[in-house]
Amino acid sequence: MMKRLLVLLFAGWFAASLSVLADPSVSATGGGLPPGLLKEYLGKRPSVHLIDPQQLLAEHHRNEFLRVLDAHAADSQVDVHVYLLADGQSPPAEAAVGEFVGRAFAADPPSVVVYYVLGAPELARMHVSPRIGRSVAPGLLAAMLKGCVAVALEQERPNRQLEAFIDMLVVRVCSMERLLDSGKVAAPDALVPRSEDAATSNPEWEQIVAEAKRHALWLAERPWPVFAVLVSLGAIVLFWVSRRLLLTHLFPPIEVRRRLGAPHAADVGVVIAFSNPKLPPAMQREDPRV
Amino acid sequence: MRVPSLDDEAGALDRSGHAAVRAAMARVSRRFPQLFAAVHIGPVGAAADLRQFAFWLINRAVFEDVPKGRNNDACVLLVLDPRSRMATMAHGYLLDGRLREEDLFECLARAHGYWLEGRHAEGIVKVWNHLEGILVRRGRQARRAMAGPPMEQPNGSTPS
Repeated sequence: MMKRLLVLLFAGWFAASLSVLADPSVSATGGGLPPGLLKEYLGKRPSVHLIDPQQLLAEHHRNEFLRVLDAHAADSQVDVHVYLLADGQSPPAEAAVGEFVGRAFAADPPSVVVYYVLGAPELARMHVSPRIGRSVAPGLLAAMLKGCVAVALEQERPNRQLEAFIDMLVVRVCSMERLLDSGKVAAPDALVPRSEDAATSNPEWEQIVAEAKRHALWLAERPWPVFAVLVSLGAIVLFWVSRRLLLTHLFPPIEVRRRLGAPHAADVGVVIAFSNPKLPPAMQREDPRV
Repeated sequence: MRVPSLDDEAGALDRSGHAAVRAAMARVSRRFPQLFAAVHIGPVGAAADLRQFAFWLINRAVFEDVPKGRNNDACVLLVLDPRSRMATMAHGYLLDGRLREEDLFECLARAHGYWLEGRHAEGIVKVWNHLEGILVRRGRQARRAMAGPPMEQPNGSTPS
């Protein structure tokens, strides 16, 4: 019975693992995006600065925004890439985007990548290529995004919101670039040495951190197998503990000679005194021979 | 003489202590279906008297609330005298050769600190908990011995 339970438990775990591994769309990677579009949003580094695979904008609007972003790219060393999502969709999972940006935007020029939900600026997510991420504190990036969202929310129409967002984003990226050039970083936690900076000084440590991040990402993308493993381990521990507690123990019968005319017990037992707190129990044992 | 298996003549246990000790004793009976635990708390006297009293009690008493089919051969008795601040343990023939005097001393030593502070119930629970661990080990050893070549028991008998 117990063996069967264990077999069922492991079978369930393997089934859950295999089903998720076999079907990548069942992961948390895509957020609210249709699986077919994942490649467009998390594939490779785009050649344009405004990515609209769902054709959400009219052509003339798209061209207008592209002009602004291209002009910025011509003037600045930091590119801006804006991915557009339809209202009701949510940006891909943080871990997946982090991995994508780290991979696709590792080469120069450094970039700021924004996932923008048309009509819902407050859902926008900002990521930066690793080179910027190493130099700029997360607080500054969060403040940048907050400023852009606030400006966009002042507008009512989605296109106007996007326009305001991009304009402010471009301005803020230029400010950030100036700060980087001058060697100053305005974020409050910028003075604190960051672990990644420390890691660059030690290649071995950097390799360990990168490996750990890769594993963490792998696990984050497969929540169900991890959950299944944890549940299985919990069940095994519970099963083991309950078995230990509920198990009964029987002594094999032995023939014992009755002694001292005692019908049930002949041992003299052991006596211990607990009168002196300064002496250990062994010193307070009463020896029957004394 | 009929006595309850938990006889607190000295009134050393409060209600919760009583319940905790009773639960620990019940666990011994459940995990070791051949055995039962008994506790007597009361004034007895000097060490020699305590030992004699335990010997007399385990051989003469009829414990009222013991599962049917278990006589005092299967008893593990703890006698605690809060007045003379002494305690003793004794066991029936069923555990002869399986529980050594050192094992009983170990159990009592576990409770020593609690009893010094007057925490009688906690000490008694510790005694039974520790005894459980020892009995599990001894049971395993006994089964292994039964599977292997017959071993001579300390009192001269051999496993049947």
